[in-house]
Amino acid sequence: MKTEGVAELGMLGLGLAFLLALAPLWVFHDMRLPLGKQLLGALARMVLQLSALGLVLEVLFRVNHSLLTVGWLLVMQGAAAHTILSRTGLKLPGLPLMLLAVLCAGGGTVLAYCLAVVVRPHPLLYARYAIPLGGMILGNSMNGITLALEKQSARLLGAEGRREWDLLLGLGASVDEARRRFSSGALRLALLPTLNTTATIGLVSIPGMMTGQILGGSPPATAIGYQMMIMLAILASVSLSAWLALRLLHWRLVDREGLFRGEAGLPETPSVN
Amino acid sequence: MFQLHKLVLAPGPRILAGPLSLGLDPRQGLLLRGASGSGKSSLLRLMAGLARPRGGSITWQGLSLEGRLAEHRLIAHMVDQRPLLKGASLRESLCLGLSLRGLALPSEDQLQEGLRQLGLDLPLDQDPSRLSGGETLRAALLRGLLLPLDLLLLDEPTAGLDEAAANLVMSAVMAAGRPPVVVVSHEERWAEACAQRFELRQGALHEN
Repeated sequence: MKTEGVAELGMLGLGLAFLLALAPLWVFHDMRLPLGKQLLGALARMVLQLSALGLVLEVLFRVNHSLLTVGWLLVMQGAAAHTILSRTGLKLPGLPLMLLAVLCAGGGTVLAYCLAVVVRPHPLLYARYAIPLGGMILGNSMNGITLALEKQSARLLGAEGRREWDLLLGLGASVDEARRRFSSGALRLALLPTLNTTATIGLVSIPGMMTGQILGGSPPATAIGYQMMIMLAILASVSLSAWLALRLLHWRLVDREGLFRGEAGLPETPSVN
Repeated sequence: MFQLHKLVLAPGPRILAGPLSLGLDPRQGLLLRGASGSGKSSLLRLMAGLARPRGGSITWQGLSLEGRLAEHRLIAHMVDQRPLLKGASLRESLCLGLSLRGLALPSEDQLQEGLRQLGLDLPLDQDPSRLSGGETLRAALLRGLLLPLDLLLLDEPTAGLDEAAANLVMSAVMAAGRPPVVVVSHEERWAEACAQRFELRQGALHEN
């Protein structure tokens, strides 16, 4: 692979890039939108998180030990699970572990397939491949799971949704059939962003991974190959993990006979807020 | 025949009624009465297999419902007080139970005839969410009457209907060949039509 090298930004260049933040600040000011604080907070987090990531990646790439790489992938899964929990506001005992299992089974399997079958780097867990690919797969799965769970829990735990659930069962739907009808909308919602991106990719936007590779000096053909693989991996991982998360949520809330757990015994049903 | 054995009704944190131990026979019509909050609808939900009793057990034709709720829901159907009609068209909502069971769907004429018997004259491609309360109630009843059932459970099936519509509903439900029916209602017309009448009062079932 021919590498032309990247034009280094340098501290001065980066500092000048931050001047771009004046544009949203000016828009907020003109529209009297009180978002300035939020923007500065977000920028501060970006700087901190990316600098920390930079340090971690430096170490991970230099050491390049399989255990360390797997350990970091697990940390990323933990962070993804935490984000899903705080964004959905779901408070169900056992849910954090369930989410970790879902991310492992969905994202982990797809990442393993990409590394072991498609890319085949040496060593297999070469940090330079495993970490960025894992990050993209996990990040998209996290968004998909969040969308699916948000939609589904609002429906299952709301009064109207309960009535609909009872109606399906009352008209003779099996618990499986009722679950399928009930969660197809949530699964659709989880997959739509990825499907839309897949269909329009390359028309206007050049995806981040390709941008990175092209800036890094890779020939476009190589970048395109990787991009296709990553889109397929994201599609696979988002559908698998959203499907699994929905099944687990149902299993957690509804028993084998289709009744809400806790309805027969304890009156408390889990709360969303 | 339902057999209640030390049945406790408590859909929420509070116990509404029980322990109830007695037999209930819907074959000639069974009426349940009682003040609101006395547990009538909760008992109906138990009979429909949509809930489990807090305590005790309930059997239908000698078999306990526990562990057989999904099976029981295939032969027993409850029409809600404020029923939900799902589907893009009235035809779709009327046929939902049949299509969920994988059964043959009735023809347009059969559906129109069913609607007419309940005093409804509606196009089958109508959006069901635009029906009035009384129309929704009767459409949901027809959706139940189309199913092959051993038991029909009705929660206030004529509340808010005018005299003529209420009479049509009652004759459709009590017509020969219809499944046994359990009705929750305050109205005198059902007391005359049902052979067994019970009142839920102070946590107990009294025959009257």
